[in-house]
Amino acid sequence: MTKTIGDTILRVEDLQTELRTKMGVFKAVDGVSFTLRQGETLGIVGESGSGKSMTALSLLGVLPKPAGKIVGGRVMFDGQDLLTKSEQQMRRIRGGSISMVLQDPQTSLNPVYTIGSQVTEAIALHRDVPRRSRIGRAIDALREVHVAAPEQRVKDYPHQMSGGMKQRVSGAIAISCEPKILIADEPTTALDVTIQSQYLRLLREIQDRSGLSVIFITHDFGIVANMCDSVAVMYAGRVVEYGPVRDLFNNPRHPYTRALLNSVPTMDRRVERLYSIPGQPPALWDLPKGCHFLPRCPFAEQRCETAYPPDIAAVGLGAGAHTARCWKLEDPTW
Amino acid sequence: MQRYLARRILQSLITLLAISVVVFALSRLSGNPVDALLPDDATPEEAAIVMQEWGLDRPLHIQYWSFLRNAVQGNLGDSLKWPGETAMAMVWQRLPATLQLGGFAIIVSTLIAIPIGVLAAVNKGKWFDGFGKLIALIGQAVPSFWLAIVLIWVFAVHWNVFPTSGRGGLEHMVLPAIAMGWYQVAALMRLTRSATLEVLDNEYIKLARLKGVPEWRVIWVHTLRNAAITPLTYFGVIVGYIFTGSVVIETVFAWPGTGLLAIEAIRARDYTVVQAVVLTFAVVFIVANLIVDVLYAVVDPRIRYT
Repeated sequence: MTKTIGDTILRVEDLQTELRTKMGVFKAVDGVSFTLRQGETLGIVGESGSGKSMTALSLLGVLPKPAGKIVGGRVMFDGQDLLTKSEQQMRRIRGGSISMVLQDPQTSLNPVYTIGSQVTEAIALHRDVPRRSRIGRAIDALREVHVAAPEQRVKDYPHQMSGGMKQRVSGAIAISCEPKILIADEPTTALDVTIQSQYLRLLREIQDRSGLSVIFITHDFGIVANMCDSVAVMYAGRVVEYGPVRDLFNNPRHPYTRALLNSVPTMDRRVERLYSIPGQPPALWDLPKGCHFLPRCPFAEQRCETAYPPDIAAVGLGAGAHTARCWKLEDPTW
Repeated sequence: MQRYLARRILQSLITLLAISVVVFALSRLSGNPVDALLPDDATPEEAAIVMQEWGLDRPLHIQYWSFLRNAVQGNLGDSLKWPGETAMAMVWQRLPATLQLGGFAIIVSTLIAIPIGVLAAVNKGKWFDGFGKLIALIGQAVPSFWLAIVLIWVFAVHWNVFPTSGRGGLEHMVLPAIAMGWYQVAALMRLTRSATLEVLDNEYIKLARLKGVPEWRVIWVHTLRNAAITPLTYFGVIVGYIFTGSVVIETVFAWPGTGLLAIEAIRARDYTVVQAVVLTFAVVFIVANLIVDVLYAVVDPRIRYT
């Protein structure tokens, strides 16, 4: 299987999203930048609350209301900044050019409408297909995600399907309008392991066939190694390390990435206790002044307390560069 | 579904039987109807003759049995106050007026309450939500008889835009329907609001937005049908409230329906008519709840009856 990766189709620059809550206003996404090329799979990794999902929802302008608000940055797609588009223009993009699969298949389909009507709804919204042929298109989309007997299944309701099957239906909805980008927000977290690998294989298959670019949000490094071309590691709303997957795995530069990789259990090493990063991720309304990882970092220095480090290139520049936000990178022996 | 319906209808009949016992017992407990029938100077002998004539001297269980046997055949006895009329005929004559007013009140309050409830949820915390809360507060705090009097005073007497009382065209229904329905609007609206809020939090609503579904469709198509179950449950209760409320409202507005008939019959101690009215209300209430149960399955495909 060879994958061809083409030109950049999505460029996120300095994206900033605020959440206004009872605890105050804070940045859930704080200066996130990355690029996505045609056919590429980008993994966004991080703990819960690190801003992975908020980043994805910001791209599509579907933030929780009224708490979420994008306050800065650019999202360049097809030569245009999505953040300047009207709600109506964004509606055409959502589910049309950029679609999304959510985490929990049990709750992401509407229980009172048939599978068929939920797939055809997306087609009706985005593609100029006459009413009578829409169901045919829906059946085709279901067949593409390997739903058995799709002609019968379209009449079923979500509660008549298994979790894995529902997640396939979500996938069918997402690809039914032939999007350019698919954002998969932990699509396999709620599935059991065998169904998980089937689903991942399916995603790869669709990608090979259509040249789709995928943003894969996960906290599972195994999936990242398996699926992704590049990775962005997020911590407390910021991308702390970003680079090609092989580079980042072989040579993690940020102490947080190292710690994360260390906490992945391996089969060839016997350990008494599994490694875990000491401390807790910081609350977004109570961030340390300098580097957000400081309280948990074994390598912390004086300067980490005063200023958040900029992006420092570990390897290369421009596309394919490997960068991390840690002062340590200035040290050639690190 | 058919088996479920059959079972539910059987249950309804048992309920009705229980109600018939209560109705029968209550009407005996309210005093001797003979006292109301006879002039004050009637002798005990004359009373005994009337008692015998009406079968009131027989043991209670025998009286109940004959009451039930006749009731099953639709015969609830003759009216004591209106000679020559059967109790059922009195009810049938008045029922259309109550169904007309009650039906109008229910339809209008539903059409008002559901959209306000949904919009209050969508605009949670904004001025519209506050407006909805105000409407609900008034509806739930103000007693309907008092509201009725105020409405008559303001709109019929002071501004003279609606008639004070009686049955006639649409304009005759406006004030009584408001007096009857405001409480229902309040209750239904609050239920709709909380149900909508709960549904809006769901992942499938997020997914609908992510699919590019326009916001109006997200709310009125994706959300409302899921949120509809709660207000639908309350619908059976509303029918009960409207019918029992008709006793008060029809009296205030002199609306010639079964509610007014009930009051007239109670005053005259015409217990056969009272029984007929109460049993009719019970049947209406039971049928309404049966319809609600069937509608559940129509609204929510997860509900399947066997």
